[in-house]
Amino acid sequence: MPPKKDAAKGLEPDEVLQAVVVTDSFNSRFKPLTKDEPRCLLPLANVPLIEYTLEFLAVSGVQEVFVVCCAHSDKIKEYLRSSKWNKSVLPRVTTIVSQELMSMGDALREMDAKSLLHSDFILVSGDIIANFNLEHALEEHRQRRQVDKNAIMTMVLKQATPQHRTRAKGEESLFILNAQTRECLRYESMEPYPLKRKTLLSTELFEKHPEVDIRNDLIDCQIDICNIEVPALFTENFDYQEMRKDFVRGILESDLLGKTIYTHILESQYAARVSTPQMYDSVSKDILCRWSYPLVPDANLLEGQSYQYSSPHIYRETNVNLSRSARLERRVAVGSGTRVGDRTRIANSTIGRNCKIGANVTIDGAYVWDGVTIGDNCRISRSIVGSGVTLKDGAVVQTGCLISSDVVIGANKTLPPNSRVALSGDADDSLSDTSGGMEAGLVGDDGRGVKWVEEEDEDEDDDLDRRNVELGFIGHTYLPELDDDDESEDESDEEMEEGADDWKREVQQTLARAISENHSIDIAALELNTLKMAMNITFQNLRETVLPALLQQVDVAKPASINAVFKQWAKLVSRFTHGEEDQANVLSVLQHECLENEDHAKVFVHILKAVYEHDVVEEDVLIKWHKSLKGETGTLGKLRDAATPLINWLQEADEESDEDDDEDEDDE
Amino acid sequence: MSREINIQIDNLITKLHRRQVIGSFNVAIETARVLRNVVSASRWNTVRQLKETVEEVGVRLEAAQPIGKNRSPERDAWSGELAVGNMVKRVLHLIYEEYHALQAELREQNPDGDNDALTDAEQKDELKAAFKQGITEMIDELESSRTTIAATAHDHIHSKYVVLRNCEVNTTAAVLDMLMAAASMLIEVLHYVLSDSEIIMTVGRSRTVELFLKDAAKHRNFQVIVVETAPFYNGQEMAKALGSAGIDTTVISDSAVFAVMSRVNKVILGAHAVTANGGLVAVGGTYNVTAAAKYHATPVVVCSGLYKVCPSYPYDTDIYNLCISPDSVFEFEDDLLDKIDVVNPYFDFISPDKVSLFVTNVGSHPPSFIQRLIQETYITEDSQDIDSM
Repeated sequence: MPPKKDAAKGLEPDEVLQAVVVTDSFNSRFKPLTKDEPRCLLPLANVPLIEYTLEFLAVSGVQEVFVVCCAHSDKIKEYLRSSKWNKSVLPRVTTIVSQELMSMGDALREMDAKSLLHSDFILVSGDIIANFNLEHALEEHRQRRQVDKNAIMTMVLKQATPQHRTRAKGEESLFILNAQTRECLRYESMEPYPLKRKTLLSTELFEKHPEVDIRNDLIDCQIDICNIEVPALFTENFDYQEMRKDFVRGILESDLLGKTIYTHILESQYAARVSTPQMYDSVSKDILCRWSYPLVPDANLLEGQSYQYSSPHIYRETNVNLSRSARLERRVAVGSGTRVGDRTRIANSTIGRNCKIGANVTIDGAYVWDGVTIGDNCRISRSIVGSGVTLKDGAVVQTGCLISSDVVIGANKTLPPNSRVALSGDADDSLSDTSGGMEAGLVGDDGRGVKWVEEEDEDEDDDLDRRNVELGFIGHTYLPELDDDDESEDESDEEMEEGADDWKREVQQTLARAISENHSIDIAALELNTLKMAMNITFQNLRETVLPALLQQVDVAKPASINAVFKQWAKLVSRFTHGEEDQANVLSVLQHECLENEDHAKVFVHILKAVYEHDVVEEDVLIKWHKSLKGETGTLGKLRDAATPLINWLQEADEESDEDDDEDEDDE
Repeated sequence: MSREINIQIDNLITKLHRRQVIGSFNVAIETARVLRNVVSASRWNTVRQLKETVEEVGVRLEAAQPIGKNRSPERDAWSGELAVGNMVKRVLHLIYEEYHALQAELREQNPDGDNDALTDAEQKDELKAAFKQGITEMIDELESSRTTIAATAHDHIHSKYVVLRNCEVNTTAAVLDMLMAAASMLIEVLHYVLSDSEIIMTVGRSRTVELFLKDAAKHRNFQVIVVETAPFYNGQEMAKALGSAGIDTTVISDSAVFAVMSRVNKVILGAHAVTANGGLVAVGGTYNVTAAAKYHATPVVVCSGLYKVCPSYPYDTDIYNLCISPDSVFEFEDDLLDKIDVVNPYFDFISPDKVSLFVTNVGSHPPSFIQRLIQETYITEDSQDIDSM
């Protein structure tokens, strides 16, 4: 591949493959670990996260990388300056600092404003671990672009079962794809809380695409191949914040833009994103088990690392001082300068450099960073222990804890599951008064550190369910059903109805406004269309709401008013009534309405006549509908009888006009 | 060292690191080219300085290897691509030889003089030219090694029995020059004598073996059985390549090796590396074949360029291996994932007792002769007196 690229480069100097790495995740899943350290520099298997991302891009043949940083940008800059990427020629790494960024959307708008991008580029966050060949996806994207200029983006997705360990729990999504072309038709985020039981798909989707895949077995690690138009679209739509929830949904649901988004699905190979502590845990395991090969500890990504591999998945740097009776069981990486005491057991863990681990310690599934001191008889399970932390003798750290730098846990103290401990609370937090009591309680009298309390006013979405965030904790299990099954069912149903009422009310209000303010048909239709897109409803929904609302306007005593109302508004109904099926639907809506309301039933024939005369419904459809009611009794029968005179009149008129045809038929 | 050279070295290091240069052949050639530039472009006054420079570059290059470095990193650093170390040691050996030749020459001209320091600029230039020439020749040899091996193919594709008898005949003649001549003469005769249709078995896809068999097919009629070599199925590619060259080829699965072996006349293998004791690092699945061959007393011939022969001893055969992603042998989707460890080694180590003959670009040798080859080719402990230069 490289020679080919060089040739291409020779022809078009502009064809430089670029990538944008957004280092910020714009959430606080890793707090307090990310209080003083940017997310992308957190060590994963003793290598900062961003190394994996940059290495992946470098191997993929990217020639220019822009690292967009916001929080702790000085640290990222400093890190990159002192790393091998500073002198790296291929790819060239440039940092872009902007303090104002609040979301992925802001980052892309920033890129657009700087106009550094020239053609298709790869957009990733700074916490990707992947070993797949991006060439195929790129090639696919380019070929598609040649055929269809509107294919602006390719999302790279990894196939994996819904219960898979490298799936970010609480951040799942549903992809609706065209089975053949892999075009993404719809995107739904699928937070488990509240559990969505339904999703609405318009029937148009199935008309346009002969075969549709609805998949929730895809891991979305947010590796996107974007066209240059993507940042521009972000600039145009300044309210887009997130890549998936705003941009992808916005593009897919907009009829006006006509842009398309495709997916590239990886069936084998590895790709994951360290988005939550739970993912940190899973990805660490994958790296130790070599799924991410060649990005494994013994690849020694950092200069000066000296990891060696031995069975069963043990990685050791030189100069590790292991007591004779200490045991590294399996899936362990230990950095140089670390001492491990007698009868200590370590499994499924990574230990940083220069740690001092005492005797009789049990470490299982823990990620211990550099310079940690662990006293005798400690136990740590499935937690992240930040650099410089001290655990005094007999301390116990239970599953899911995050311990920030330099905290001291007192002797014989037990940290309950999912504790978050930092040296100090948030700077602008006024909790320091109460923290004195907390301190002794959590880390013991001889400890140092306070319980981390999350700021109330996070920059996260307000509608984010706390439980979804908690799913991202290490060792947190998903409780698939609420205790009372029926209750949850009811709840979700209620919610659905609430949602349904929402749009109904909106539509009714819009219409009422249109009638009272005497809007033109065009304006009313535009408003309703916008509403349809925004509320994600169908034309049928619109008809179901608009027709009854129109009937409300009618003065039942005076049949003439029917004609007046429809004379003005029938065109609006026609705007979202296309073809015979829709017309039949209009009739069934009217019929339904008249069954409910006796007053309307009385003037049913006038209503039918009005919709016929104002070209909402054609006569064929009317006749067909009338035929379908043959044999009905009761109110439905009455309605039919009421309509019969009109139908007869129609048929007679029909026969007259079609006389010639009839004669022909008679001849035969 | 000039900046330019440093950039070249860094480039090779990153390429090795990212596995953008793979295969011992490519690695050897790339390394040799960089070393040639180092020798010609770096400044040195004594041979000792040059030696140190080359050694330093060697250490840097070897450190670049992403996989399984030696546990004692001081000497003999083993790396995933042994060829890097091999080339460095070979260049050092070359420097040593050339220097000694020059010294001997000088001594002849001026037996009393002090020859240790290279005061004469002319001498230095001469030496430098000699080194460059030597490395260029080495690269040429590298590039042609596959074809050289392939050219000897027709010597090996027929019953081992006959070859052994030839050897006996030649040994009685006891004249070394004549041995070679006679052997080739006899082989010419054998072309006609043997109306053979041997069955050859091979594993994986080795370019050397592929060329070897294609060349042999020009002279002989034989059948090849290729083991498909799961999970990478290089064997299938090999079979395709051989088949399209008109060779009668059959693909079998790895599990069928033992059953088929009784009918095989000869096993011909490629190697990733050859260790100092005559052992072999080869693609996974080879061990299986050699074990079956040993049971059936089928001769095993290994085709390998000299650049694959490396002077380190396999004290711990595990470090010669490379564990790659288990992706190809185990579904990443499986829920068992948490409970089990999947190990997917890429290579097999084959002990020397399972190999009958090595065919290199400098001739064919039994495993026990590899030791001798190493002494002739590389700088070793014995030749350390270069330090006194």
